[in-house]
Amino acid sequence: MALEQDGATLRLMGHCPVEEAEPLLDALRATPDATVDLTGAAWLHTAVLQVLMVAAPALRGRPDGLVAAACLAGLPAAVAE
Amino acid sequence: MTNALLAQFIPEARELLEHAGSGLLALEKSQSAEALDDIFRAVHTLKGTSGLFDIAPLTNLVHAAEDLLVEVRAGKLTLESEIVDGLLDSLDLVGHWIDALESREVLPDDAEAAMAGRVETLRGWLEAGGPAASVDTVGRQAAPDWLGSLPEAERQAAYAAGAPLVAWSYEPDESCFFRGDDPAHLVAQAPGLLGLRVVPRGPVPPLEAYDPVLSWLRFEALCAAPLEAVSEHLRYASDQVQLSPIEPEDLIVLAGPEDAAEMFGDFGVRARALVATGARAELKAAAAALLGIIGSATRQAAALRWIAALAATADAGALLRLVSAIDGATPVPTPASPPAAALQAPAGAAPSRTSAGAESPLRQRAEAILAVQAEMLAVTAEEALNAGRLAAARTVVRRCLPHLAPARAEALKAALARPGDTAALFALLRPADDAVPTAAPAATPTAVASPAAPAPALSAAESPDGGDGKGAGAGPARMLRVDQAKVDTLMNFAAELVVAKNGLAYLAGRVEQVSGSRQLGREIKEQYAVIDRIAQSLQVGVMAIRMMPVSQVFQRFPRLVRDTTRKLGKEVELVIQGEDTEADKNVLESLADPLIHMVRNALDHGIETPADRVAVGKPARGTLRLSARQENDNVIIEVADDGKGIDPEVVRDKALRVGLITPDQAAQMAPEEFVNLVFAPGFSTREQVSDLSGRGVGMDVVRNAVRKAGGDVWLASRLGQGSCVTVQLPLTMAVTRIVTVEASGQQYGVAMDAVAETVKVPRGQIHRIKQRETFVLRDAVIPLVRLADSLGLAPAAGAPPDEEAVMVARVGRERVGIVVDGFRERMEVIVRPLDGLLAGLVGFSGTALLGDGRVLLVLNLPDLI
Repeated sequence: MALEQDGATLRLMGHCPVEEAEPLLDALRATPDATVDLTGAAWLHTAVLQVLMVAAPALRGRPDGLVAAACLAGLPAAVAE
Repeated sequence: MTNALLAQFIPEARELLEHAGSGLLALEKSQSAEALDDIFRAVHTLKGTSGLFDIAPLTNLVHAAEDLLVEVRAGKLTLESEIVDGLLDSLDLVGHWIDALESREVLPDDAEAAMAGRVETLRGWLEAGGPAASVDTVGRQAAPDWLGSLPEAERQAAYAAGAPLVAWSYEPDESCFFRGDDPAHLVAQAPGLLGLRVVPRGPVPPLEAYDPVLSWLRFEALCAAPLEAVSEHLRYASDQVQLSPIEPEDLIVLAGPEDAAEMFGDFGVRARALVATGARAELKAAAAALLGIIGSATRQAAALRWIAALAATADAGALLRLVSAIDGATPVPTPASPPAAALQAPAGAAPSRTSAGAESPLRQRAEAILAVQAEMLAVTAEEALNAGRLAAARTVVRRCLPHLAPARAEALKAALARPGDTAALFALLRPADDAVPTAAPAATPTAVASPAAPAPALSAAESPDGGDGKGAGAGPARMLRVDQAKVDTLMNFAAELVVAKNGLAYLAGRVEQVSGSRQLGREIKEQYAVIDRIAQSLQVGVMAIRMMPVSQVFQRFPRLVRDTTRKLGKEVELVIQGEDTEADKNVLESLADPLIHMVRNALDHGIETPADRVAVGKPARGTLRLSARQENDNVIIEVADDGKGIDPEVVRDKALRVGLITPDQAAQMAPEEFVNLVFAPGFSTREQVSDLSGRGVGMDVVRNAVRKAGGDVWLASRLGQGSCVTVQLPLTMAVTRIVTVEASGQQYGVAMDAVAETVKVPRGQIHRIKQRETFVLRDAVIPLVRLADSLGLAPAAGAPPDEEAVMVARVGRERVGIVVDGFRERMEVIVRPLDGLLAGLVGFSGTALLGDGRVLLVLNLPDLI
């Protein structure tokens, strides 16, 4: 399971294929204040990136790579706890 | 066909071949990049899909054609007629192979050899044309407009990497996820990826209505790699990608408002001196020092950053151009104009406020929303209300955060983090307008929403790949590829429903007769009306599926005309009109062969050679006009040429010689009637049989084919001015409106289209001219035919009536009166052709089932007269 929810924190782990886009979208719709934790994410599929871009949740950690950086640059960072 | 995949491939391949073929012809006429892209896309797709099957010769041949097209697209090869011929021939060969695949599922045995020959020819041009035409003649492609929107740091890194550089944009199509594509992965793996910007291709749907399986991103990337490597990497998405090789200088795009401070003049003087003496380190330091003083959003600041970044490595010319961009002095004349152009400030040097906001409409809107929140908070309210109001405002602000300039977002976020501090939040919201210009430029450029990007850059970003955008952005019409047999089955059911509902009308009559209940009869009739309406709609709907534009038939003609005229040494301009006219697929298919024949005839016999044309004072280039239009329930297709026309005298002599007409008949005929004798069987005016037309089959074949489809054809010609063949066909052949007539106690159907009118003729007005009975209808003599006699039926018993019921029918373009015993009713039926033992029966076009279960024979009038 690449998507885990822990209260208001959604955690994407490892390789997140296109199938994760829909559950992620549902989770973000259900939890408007969610923080998405990407520290454990290795690769996000385009569809997943798109969901993040649309929902624009606060992010913790950013996956490596120019593409993810370019897609997620506009999203706020989670407030450090 | 057992292989379902192959069955799917075949129609697709045909379509692609057609695309490529028509594209090539369009390209030959006018060099358009769009047409070239179309051809390339078609050929490329064909190559890709053919790889799924064990048909290596086909794949190899298409590959060779694609390689040739790549060179043409890159401008290294000019598309001469010879090459177009070669490509067309290759496509034809592929077409033949596709036919073979369809029938036998394997390529013909000689495919390998045929392929080798063709590939050699194509490759030959590739090698001959490749080095001959140098890249310089093509002129360097302009750098894409969006280049300036890439983060400055990434551009500087790319500049440092140096040539070869490729800037490319990639708009994965909407449904790419369904094919298992991961565009981000593809982009991430691109060779030498240095810079990237990801933007939405259009308006992004809100979260509530968001569909996670559709792709809507556009990638703009910069790679330090050879064009070939990038293009190879993106080969599977080549139709969604726009590649342009760029020079490092193209990367220097300076944007931002103009700063007219005097110190720039001083800097310019000093910097030029430093460049001249080669004191690069000092130049860098000077630029850095100045940067520390001025605002970072101006154009000058951007130029300074470039100087600071490039001082150590760039050549003097580039640095001097940057210096000129700062102090506004005349730039050093430079051979490369694009960089100079890039240095100019964007139109009118947009004032700072818009430069921050206009680039992102969302940001503007977010600011507007914040301003409203501030207004709302400013209104004093009761304590109890206030808490809820504040909470609402906080939620709104939080939602707006992602769309704000990062610096402003951070500040607001900090205020939100302190729940009690309403005043701080209010204060931040309030000066929204004033805060933007200072806050935004301070922010570092980001990929998604770069404050440095001028407004025009975004809108212009769409334009460089207009070709792509049309395919992906405009939302392609969703098509369903359905086996025609399925539609035909549906059509048959719809038509049978139309016929079956006729049974209700009978039933209503019977109910009234048998039970004497008029009430019940009326109710059945009401139900009948409802079913009738639905059945009609169903039929119209199914018919619409089968309707196709005439262009389906016409599109093969540009090629045919081109090839034929080249062979004949004639010059002909093909004009196609009304190709949007729609007709039933079967009708169009029945029309295809006759039309080819007529076009060949017009080119071969009609239009003269250029020399002959000039001699009689016509333009050397002949015109062949193909036009289609709809008239009532018919499609009218005309093939008109401005050639030498047909000499009625010659036709008459020939017709007399071969015994088509007798001298007596000839004496009575008008010139236009002679001309139409060309449709008679066994007639050909040309003595010589040419390669093209007149292969023993004449225009009679055309007429037979058209008449079989329920239409008619005739010819008009003026000697020396040209001929026009007109084909009239019914729009649809599925359901026929007929009228039933009675003869000797039997009922027969006659298609309504053929019936001009019905009249009662008193016996006294029927005259006998020679062996023929005739009567006069509105000053025209109409020959009469007795249906019972024609069918060999016994004459009706009893005394002949005082008045004969005459159905005036159109046969060809003549009118004939058909004497019947009476008219019965009109109805819509499906006429089923006679088959099996009945197939050879003359006089009937088919049978139809009546509402009461009886079988009705439908007459074929031309056979009877």
